[in-house]
Amino acid sequence: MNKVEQEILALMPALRRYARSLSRDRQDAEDLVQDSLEAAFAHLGGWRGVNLRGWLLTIMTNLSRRRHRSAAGRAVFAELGEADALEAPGREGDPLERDRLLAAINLLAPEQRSVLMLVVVEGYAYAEVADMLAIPIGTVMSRLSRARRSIAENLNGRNIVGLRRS
Amino acid sequence: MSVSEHDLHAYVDGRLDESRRSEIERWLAQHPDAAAEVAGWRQQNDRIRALFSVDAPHADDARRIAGIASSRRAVRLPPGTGAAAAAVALFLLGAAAGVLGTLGLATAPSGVAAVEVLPAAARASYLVYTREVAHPVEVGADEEAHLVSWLGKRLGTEIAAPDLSAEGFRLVGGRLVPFRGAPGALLMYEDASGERLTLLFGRNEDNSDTGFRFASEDRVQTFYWIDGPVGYALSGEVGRERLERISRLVYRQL
Repeated sequence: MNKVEQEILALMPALRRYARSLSRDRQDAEDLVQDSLEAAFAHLGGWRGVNLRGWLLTIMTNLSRRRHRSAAGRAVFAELGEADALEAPGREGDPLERDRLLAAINLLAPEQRSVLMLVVVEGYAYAEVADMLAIPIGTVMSRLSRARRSIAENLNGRNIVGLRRS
Repeated sequence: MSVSEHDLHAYVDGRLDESRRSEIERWLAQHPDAAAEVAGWRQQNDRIRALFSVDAPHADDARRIAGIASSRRAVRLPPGTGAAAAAVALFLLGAAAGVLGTLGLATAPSGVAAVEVLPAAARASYLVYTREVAHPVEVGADEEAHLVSWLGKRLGTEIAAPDLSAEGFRLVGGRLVPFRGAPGALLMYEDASGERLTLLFGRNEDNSDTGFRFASEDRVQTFYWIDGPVGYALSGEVGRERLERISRLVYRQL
């Protein structure tokens, strides 16, 4: 295994987490990780040699958006029960509330969702996100703002009912 | 003091320096509506982070990465062939676009039954992809479980890869293909001599099953049939008798 392969190996848990944060369920997330790894190795020549993690997350963001576009029109509410699949065993918190949060996240437009996750979960600064996604920082801020308001509205409103498997 | 929404997000995300943060805190103390919204965003952050925590590494990660890396190395061309290879790739892309375009695969022909477009779609996929040397499939047979679950998901119904070893064919892998403007699945098989078959799965909305049908153009022959929500088409150049035998083998397993 060469150096880049070892570095990618070390990043696998982080890649998987980001994939899950963009995906409806674990299978989608695994598919996204696989597609991203293949795209990364196909385009290693295009990597500038710095910030491997940022480069991989950018690839994943783009693939995820394309995938959402091709899946557009798929029923949203029918799959809310899938939220259960993302739940890690033994995690604290009310499972019903967790389902409602996931459902609210699943309603976000893909480009809002990726900005939110890069900022909140991956811990990137706004300017870094702008750089990674090649968008102006104002766009980062407006997507972040819309994502937060949309989640808050959906959590406070009655338009989401968490589906549970009994 | 002026406070922008940018400041409020930066406050929530811990992106302000100490002095600006105290300023925002003083401002929030006097603006309860904004303070409530900001508190909500903070709580959102905590809950989202709790939702997506990092898993332990998987045991097979190293093998998986090495596999992808080596499959990329295997198709890398020797130096100097770059321009020629690019020309070939462009030609193949053009040919693919031509074939798909001519047969109307790029868009959904409304009002045309799945069974009517199956043989032409199958023939086009067969011609385009079995001639590919470097990338005949998107996902190889070494990841069969992933392959069938992925394609099944795109197709909207579970599929399985039939075992054709009784006829000397092994699974090469599969790929996503367009079928009537929607996702279809293509599996490819190969025998020891390098002869290839393709099995096309396409979504069927019409409420009709069919028996085996046969189509032939030039040397490419196709057996196709509709079974509930899915239309199947097996294409190859192995002679009608053998192709029919393999089709029955497929049919029995699906």
